Amino acid sequence: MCTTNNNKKTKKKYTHPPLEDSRKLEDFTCLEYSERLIDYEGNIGYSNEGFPVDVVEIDFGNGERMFLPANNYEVNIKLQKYGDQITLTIRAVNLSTGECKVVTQSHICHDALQSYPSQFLSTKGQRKNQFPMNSQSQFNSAHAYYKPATSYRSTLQFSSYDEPKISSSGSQLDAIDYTNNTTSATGTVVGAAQFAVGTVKNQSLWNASHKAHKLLKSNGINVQTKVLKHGLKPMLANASRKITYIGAALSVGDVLIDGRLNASHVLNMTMVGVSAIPVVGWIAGGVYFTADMVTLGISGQSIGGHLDDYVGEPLVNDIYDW
Amino acid sequence: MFDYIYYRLYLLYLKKEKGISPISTSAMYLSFIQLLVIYSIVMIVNITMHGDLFKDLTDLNKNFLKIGIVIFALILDLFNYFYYKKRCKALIMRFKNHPLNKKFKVWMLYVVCTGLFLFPFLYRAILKML
Repeated sequence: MCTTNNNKKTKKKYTHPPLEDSRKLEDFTCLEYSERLIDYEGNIGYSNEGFPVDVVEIDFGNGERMFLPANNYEVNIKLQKYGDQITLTIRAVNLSTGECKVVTQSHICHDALQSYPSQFLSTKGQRKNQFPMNSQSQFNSAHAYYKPATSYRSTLQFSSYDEPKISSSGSQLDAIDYTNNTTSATGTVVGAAQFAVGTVKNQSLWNASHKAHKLLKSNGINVQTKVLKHGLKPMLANASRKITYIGAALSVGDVLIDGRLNASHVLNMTMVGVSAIPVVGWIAGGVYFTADMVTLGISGQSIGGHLDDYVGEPLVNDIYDW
Repeated sequence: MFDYIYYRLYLLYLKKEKGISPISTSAMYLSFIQLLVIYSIVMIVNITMHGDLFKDLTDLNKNFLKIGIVIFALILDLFNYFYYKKRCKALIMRFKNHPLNKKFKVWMLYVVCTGLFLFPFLYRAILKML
């Protein structure tokens, strides 16, 4: 299990030569351990083992850097993209003592970062090794790439790729978002149709069904008017509930595969639960899904997406990490 | 167990939907409960294995898998629909005087569903504390 060390926040003096650009490492450590920038659980830099002995420098590509002790450490780097935030979790395990330290750093995706892949990490100066995002990227090789303590230049760096796509589901491909939005859109159309059918008078519904019957008949399909009229309501009711069910299955799949629980998942599941309550729940669910679609149309993001942005971080970041 | 749950859901929606499509609706919510049961089991296994089940999947494969889950859910729903459409009357006869009819309320299913959804998180919290 990991042990953390939060109580030491005093700066440590060290006497290594300055960096090539004449900044001292202290400058970087100030940046690194500024509470404003980093929400850290462990305290790698001020460990009892001493810092820095040998250092791995992480270059974020936007002028920000951070350092990790590399000697005798196994460094695991994990990238997670969540909304417009990229969270980098770096875990360093001291191979001799087994002590584990964790640093988490969140970045808002500004222009500089958006031009970075956030899907791949690669090592600079060596053969490019690509690591898929959202999975534990083993950086055991970090030992090999650090340079001696006399020169703290970049050894790990984000490599440049074309613009990544930010998706609320936290993955590069937007298939889930598209499916979600399509589900939401279809649900709203069906819900509206259901509402319209529910409000029109019997005679009007009969007339509409009769017209549909004529149209179908002219195309060689013979369906009786009364079948159309009586079949319309159950069909629409079924369709709207099936769409709710698809939304729920998507949320379940999302949590299961990514191991991350967002506020939007909880909201979705709650709304599915509410929709299961007869009459009152159907109305509430219908209103929600319509509002969701309107929000999506106006702001380009669903209610769940807005909620995720507001909450900031996932409720449970990685359920498989314990 | 699922037969009985279906029976209770069917009675609820038969009454509330005024006979529009109670078989389909109850089969769908039953499928949802079954999906949650599967989700809960897979999550617990995967948490125990530190996420090894989906560890090596790329983003693309993860998305395909998610869509696969949706397709599986639809197939499950269809299966339940046809399965219970045939057996609906037999189930009504079978559970008409079941002793659970008075003790078990349909709202309890909401608690069960919430529990199934959140149980893996509780399991993980317990593992983390150990």
